[in-house]
Amino acid sequence: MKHDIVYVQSLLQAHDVASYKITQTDTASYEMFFVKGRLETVRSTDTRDLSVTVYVDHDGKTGSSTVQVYPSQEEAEMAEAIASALRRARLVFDEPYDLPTGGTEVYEDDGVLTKLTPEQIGADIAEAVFGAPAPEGAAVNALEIFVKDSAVRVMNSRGIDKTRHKRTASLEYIPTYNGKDGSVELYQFDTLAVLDTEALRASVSEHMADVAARMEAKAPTAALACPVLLPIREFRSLVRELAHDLSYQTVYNHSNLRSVGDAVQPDCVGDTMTITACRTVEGSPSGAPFDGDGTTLVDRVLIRDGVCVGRFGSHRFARYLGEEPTGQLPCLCVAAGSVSAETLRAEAHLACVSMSGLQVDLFNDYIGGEVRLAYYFDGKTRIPVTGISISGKLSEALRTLTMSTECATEDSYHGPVLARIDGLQIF
Amino acid sequence: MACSSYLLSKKDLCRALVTELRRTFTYVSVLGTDIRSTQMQVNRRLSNVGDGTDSERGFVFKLSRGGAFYEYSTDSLEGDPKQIAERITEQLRVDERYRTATISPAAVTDEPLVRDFERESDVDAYSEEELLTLSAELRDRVLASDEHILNAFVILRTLSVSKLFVSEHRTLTQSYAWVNGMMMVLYREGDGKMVQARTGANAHLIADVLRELPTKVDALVEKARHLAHATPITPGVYDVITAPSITGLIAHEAFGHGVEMDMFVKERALARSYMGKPVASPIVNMRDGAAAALSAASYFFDDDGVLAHDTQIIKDGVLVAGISDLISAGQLGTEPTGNGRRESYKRKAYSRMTNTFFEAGTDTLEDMIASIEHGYMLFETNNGMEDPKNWAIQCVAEYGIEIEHGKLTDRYVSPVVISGYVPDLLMSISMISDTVTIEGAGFCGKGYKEWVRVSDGGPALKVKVKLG
Repeated sequence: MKHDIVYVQSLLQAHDVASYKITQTDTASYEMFFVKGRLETVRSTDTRDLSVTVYVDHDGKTGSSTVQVYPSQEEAEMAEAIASALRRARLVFDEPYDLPTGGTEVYEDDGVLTKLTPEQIGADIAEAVFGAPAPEGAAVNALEIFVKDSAVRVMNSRGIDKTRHKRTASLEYIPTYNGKDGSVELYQFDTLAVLDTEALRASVSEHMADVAARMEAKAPTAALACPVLLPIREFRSLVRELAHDLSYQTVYNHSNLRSVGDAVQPDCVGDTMTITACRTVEGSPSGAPFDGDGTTLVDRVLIRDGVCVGRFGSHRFARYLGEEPTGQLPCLCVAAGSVSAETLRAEAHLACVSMSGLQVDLFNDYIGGEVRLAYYFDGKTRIPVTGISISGKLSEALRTLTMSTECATEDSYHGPVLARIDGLQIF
Repeated sequence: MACSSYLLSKKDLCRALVTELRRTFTYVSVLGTDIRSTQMQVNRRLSNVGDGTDSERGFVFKLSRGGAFYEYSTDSLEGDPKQIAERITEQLRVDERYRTATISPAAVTDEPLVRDFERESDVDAYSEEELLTLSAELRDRVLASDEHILNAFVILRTLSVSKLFVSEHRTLTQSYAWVNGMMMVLYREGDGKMVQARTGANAHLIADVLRELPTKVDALVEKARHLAHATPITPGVYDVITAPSITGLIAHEAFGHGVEMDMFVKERALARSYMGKPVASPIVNMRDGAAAALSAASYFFDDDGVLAHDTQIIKDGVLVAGISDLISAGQLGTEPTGNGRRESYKRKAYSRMTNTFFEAGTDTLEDMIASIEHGYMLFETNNGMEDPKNWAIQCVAEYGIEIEHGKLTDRYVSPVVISGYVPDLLMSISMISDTVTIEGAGFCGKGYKEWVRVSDGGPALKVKVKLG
């Protein structure tokens, strides 16, 4: 007998637990792993996760504790887990808060991905990746595909019973170039909300051209001094850091750097940023209608024209701060910039293509990282470069920021596809 | 610590399932996991005690008919073995376009062995009330030690692992525990910059963590005071001394990922072409293995049912071995080294590092610092990213302390990004200290996913490297 959320709820009620939240996550996945074009492993998963949070008001405070229970557990073992959660909750003395209220809602996934079988999706993705046009010597030598069906259901003791179904497809692949002087690679991970095999083929093809360029790339012989262009993948990590600083929980824990009314980009000479935390953005696989508490998500502008104007976060921390809950918003939307990508690329620049990961440290006012592949354009010639790092003051980067007018969606981000930063050291 | 009674109750069913599935498949194994994890956290405003995110209970089957492998993960096993076996077989579908385009068949190791492994643990010897009270006392002590501390966090995490492995010829069980303790402060002087400082203690016994953590309070607060005045480093190439956590970061990110032998099979690792060749200064020795040290990644058998190893990777500067899981060893025709690890029963096994470290040298730390006219000593891992194909480095240290005229100054720089080319860095190692410290608090991803617990460390190294 595989227990479900309704069974857990009946057990909580039978044990007179007055305040609770239960989350059931059912996941069925289909996964394919290729090595040098040949199938190495096929995986299938069929799992259910059940977590129970109990809340106990005691001594003028509120305590809570979360335990995992298992579909395979006997009633006595599950009851003991719940009793343990109640004991733990009485050890916790947090400021009182209430649980969100709400009704029953079911959100189905009617996306294109649900029209195909997981095996078809996997095979279509594999065909698109391996069939993408590539320069001679370039190939994908490792590919992993994950097709995941998830059903998340949240119930609480104040009437919330919300369910969302979603299917996503993710792929990790390694474009590789083998030349006479050696071999180089790049890393790519994408999550798809729709299966557009032509777009996927084009994207893979672009990365194949990049990896061929990496083979030709050399460390610059002289120091470079020019603006740096960050691609969408790196720019979004900067945006994420700025947004995180404005979450209710960060503020409640005294770990925020900025408050509402503070300027993020004082004395800006480029584009001021407008950042909105959203429930979803067009084409994103990360959108959700409600958060882990079952709170219906409400979009919130965090930064408008370079100034902090709002904060976001869960029901509990909103209550602590006396603000309106927005829920834990999963997506970020950045307003378009003022200059076209073509114009940004027309002047001398270093355009980063692949980095180990952009390091953004708000506390230390730092931005930087190792660049694995970039194109240096001196105003006339464009050459691939590698073996360099960038580094500078985050405040200066934000002051000089210029963003492209063109926008796109990548995972949970929608916004400019290119951002120019001045004043970084390239070494 | 005794193995999970739930898993033991499923041992016979697992054996029956292996027998049933062997009618269809040439290789069958099943791994059962039952992992209890707890997390206790207190800070100035909040506290929390509950199950940690590592908690799980489930099974994963690994099957082969020659060619591709198949895996099926499920949260429960109930019912008739024949019916379960049919259900598993039905799940393993492949679109006709890829049914035959598989890897070549390879022999799979399945030497007979029946053993039960246990490691001493005291995780259940303390009540959660006791642990929470001790954590709160520690938090209060930290908060009282300096008025500029905005918040202090004390976190205790326990992990109790039980695993069952059954194949045609092997039946293994293991149980062990690990404990992580951490303290962190948020610190700000007036309108100055806000900084985070952290410290930790990690051990297989909670008593050791509880004894060590309080001894680190004063150093933690002192570090926060220094970091509040830290400045950016001027980018350049410097003589550097690495503290053990940075040594470990280099061992792990710069080199360790490149000797994971599934990367050899994929032709993703430059290291493969360097086997038997010098890759580091002749004074360098490096090891990895679940049996190489007692730390966060010490187990008795891996998730492929292969016993833990202690693998010498670099000997006297020469690359002598890599680390492998069952599939990659089969593809390469080598013996698996006990490095087949899964993030959870829901995920695939890959070749993964365990406890990875450089071995001790003969120099004293004092002599090493004294040998530097101008440079930095680097401390505390922030993060790193591997590049096994091209051997580029990105490792981030939380902070560095400037060395001038052979002495540590009180000038701190933060953060510090180490970058460059792996062989240049490893060949530049000119001195190695005589004491090894292994930090057991790390998590490691493969690419940007598949997180497993690891430890790394070593002695202090003197290197020449690019900092920014």
